[in-house]
Amino acid sequence: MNGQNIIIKSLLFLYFFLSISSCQKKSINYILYYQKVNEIDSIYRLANNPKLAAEEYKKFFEAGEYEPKNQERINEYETYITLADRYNIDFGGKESLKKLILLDAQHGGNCKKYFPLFKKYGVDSLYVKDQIANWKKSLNQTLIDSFTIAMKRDPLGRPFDSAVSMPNVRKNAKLLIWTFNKYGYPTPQKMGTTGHDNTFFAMPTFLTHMVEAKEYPFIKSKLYEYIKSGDCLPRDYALMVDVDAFLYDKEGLYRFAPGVSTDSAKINRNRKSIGLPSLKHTAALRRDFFKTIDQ
Amino acid sequence: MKKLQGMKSSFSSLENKKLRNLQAIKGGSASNRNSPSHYTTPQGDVHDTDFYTDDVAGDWKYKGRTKLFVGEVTPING
Repeated sequence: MNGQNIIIKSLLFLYFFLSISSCQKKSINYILYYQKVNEIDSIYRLANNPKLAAEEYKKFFEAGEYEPKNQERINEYETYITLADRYNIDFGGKESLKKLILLDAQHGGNCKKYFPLFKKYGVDSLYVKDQIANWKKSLNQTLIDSFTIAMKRDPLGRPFDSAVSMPNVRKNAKLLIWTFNKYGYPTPQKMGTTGHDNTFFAMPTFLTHMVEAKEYPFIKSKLYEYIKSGDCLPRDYALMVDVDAFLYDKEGLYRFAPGVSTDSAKINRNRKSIGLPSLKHTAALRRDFFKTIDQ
Repeated sequence: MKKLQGMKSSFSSLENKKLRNLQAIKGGSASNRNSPSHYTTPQGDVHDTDFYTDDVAGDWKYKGRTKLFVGEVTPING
């Protein structure tokens, strides 16, 4: 009897151990998030079915597997809430709007464009200001100081004086790796999008310049990990990787550099593999983006 | 002469009215920044320029990249 008990107990222990370890194995992979968002956005933007897109977004965001993002051009969370409001779908009210406030603030926005919507759901401008001010207080000042300096020195000597730009590339690569080790990827959640003296953290340009650093292979592999963790944008990674391919006559993977591959099906597969939208979808996003900023 | 002066003032007030709506001018409310790059390759020099824009002050967005390679400018699918 005792022996049986021990066997049952050890089987139960094994069961719990296995279920815990399988939970741990299922770590977050934001590439799956980006793929799902691209799929839903194409229902909205390409198939022109906004109601279905809103319902799909609701299912996806309410599953809670991933914290929402609001990427440039796709603006998935903003699109979800705006469409849900239009079709009277419950998007979670104030709690979801609070997420939207923080997502907009992280991109340097002031949420003014959402004020009519906020008013409808009882969120006043004072609440928005407080939320943004509190978030700003939580930012990492060390990262802001360091990346203000890094972004200021990044364009120095460019485009022609490599005697000035190359030492700065070395310093910036060192800073980036130091940041990875100490704080992880320098996201807008951690340091906002502008530093001191209104210095804009131009990450696409900054990262692309890393192709000139000797640490490039290491930085590239770290960035791929940071795409999966949801910290680095696939676009910023692709811009960097394709410049490297272009400069060293390798095959371009994502068509962010010209004339390197004409195989669109292959490019689309590569794009999907890091969570980027397809070429056709990208063209639609570009069209909508330029329509907005040229208004 | 009097009539001419009157016309002038109405013209300028019309212009002022138009200028108040900065959205009416293409790109009038947004500012732009660009970031040039330069790389040397065995085939020649490559120049990149990244463009950013903010239609809400401080809300900078990546606009695109052009690549100049041996005299040819190519916009990138971004």
